[in-house]
Amino acid sequence: MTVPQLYYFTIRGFAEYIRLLFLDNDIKFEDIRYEYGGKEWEEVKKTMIFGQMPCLKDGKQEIAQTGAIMRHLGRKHGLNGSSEEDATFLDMFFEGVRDVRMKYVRFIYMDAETREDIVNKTLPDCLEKLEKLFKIHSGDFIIGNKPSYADYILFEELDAYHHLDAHILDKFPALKKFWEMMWQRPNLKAYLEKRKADGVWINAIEKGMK
Amino acid sequence: MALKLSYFDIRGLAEPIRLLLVDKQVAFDDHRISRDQWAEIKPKMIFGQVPCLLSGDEEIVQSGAILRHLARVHGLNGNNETETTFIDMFFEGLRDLHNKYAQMIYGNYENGKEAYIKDTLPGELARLEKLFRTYKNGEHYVAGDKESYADYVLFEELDIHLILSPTALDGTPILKKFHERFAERPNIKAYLNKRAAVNPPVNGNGKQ
Repeated sequence: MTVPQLYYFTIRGFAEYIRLLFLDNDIKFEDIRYEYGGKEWEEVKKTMIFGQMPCLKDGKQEIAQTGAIMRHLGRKHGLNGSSEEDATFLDMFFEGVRDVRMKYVRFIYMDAETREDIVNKTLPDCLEKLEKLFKIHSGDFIIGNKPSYADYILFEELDAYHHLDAHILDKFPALKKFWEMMWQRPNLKAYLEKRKADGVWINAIEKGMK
Repeated sequence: MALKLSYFDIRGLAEPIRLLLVDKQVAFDDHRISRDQWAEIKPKMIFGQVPCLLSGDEEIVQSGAILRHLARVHGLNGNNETETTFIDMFFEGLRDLHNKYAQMIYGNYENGKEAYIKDTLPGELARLEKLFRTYKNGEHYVAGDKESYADYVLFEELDIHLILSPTALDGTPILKKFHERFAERPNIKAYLNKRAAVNPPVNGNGKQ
């Protein structure tokens, strides 16, 4: 079996969910990283299906689009729930978190709102909805006591928001507990600590790191 | 299972879902929310948004999640994992295009429309046409011989771009042919005829 190759930039960005899924489930992959805006990327860009990354090359198949990659890995590695209802719930959860991410992205790159607004209003409003949705199923993860692909986007997003404000999760105890638990996952802990020590950027610009 | 699709009285993000249900002859309550009702409904929605599909007592929001759920239930999700992933990727690519379209429609229609048609759209459509040719050279559907949920999204996306600019597809003849073929599917054709009589707006702000 070939080792899948993940192509992305040196930053966390949209690929981090995929990396965390691989790491946590002990799945070997090649973590190929390009400098954002570098010459090498300019060449690689031309070969990408939508001119974008992340891209996952798995044998002959080339997969672009973060959501498509995550859902593919979810199905392939048993991280997609155990029924049609689960699969739909996880999909809905993933898409809901992705919407929050898009608000965050507009703040980071387009200054769509002030830091005060996103930290005190926009993100808490979204987190309140996610907290409610998270509590629908019992257990440590979105569904039960087994991780699914949507847990990795949720964790990464919570971690990114925690960078903006170390108290942002205080009002959302279920999400906070989940975030703390994920930090202690045996296959993630060392990676997360190194990532933090190295100060790996979340975005293509330093904004968002604190 | 009784289905109720709640959305505004526009095409918007619900139209591909409606097209899928109509084409597959799945009965559903096409619930159109008025401006007055929305204030009351919004707080009840999981993310404060529509479309929302109520399937029995299961509430599904997020258009992608709704479409993929319906695709799995009605056999519109490809024949194998490779096809399923391809269809998903195609769908996500269409969504990126729709986001650019929506940014122009809602954010910069008066000043941005011409540049969008001239500079943004041709490259986007060319990329989609190339990807569309992956299976059977684009002679049938996104994933070859059999339709999938992404076909309904593709059809609607092409259709609204033809409203924006009647010559939008002239540079991508294979997508143009797909659009013509798809509009002739009997159930789709009947729906489109009926819709034309009502002519609901494509977008919430009336610009198209």
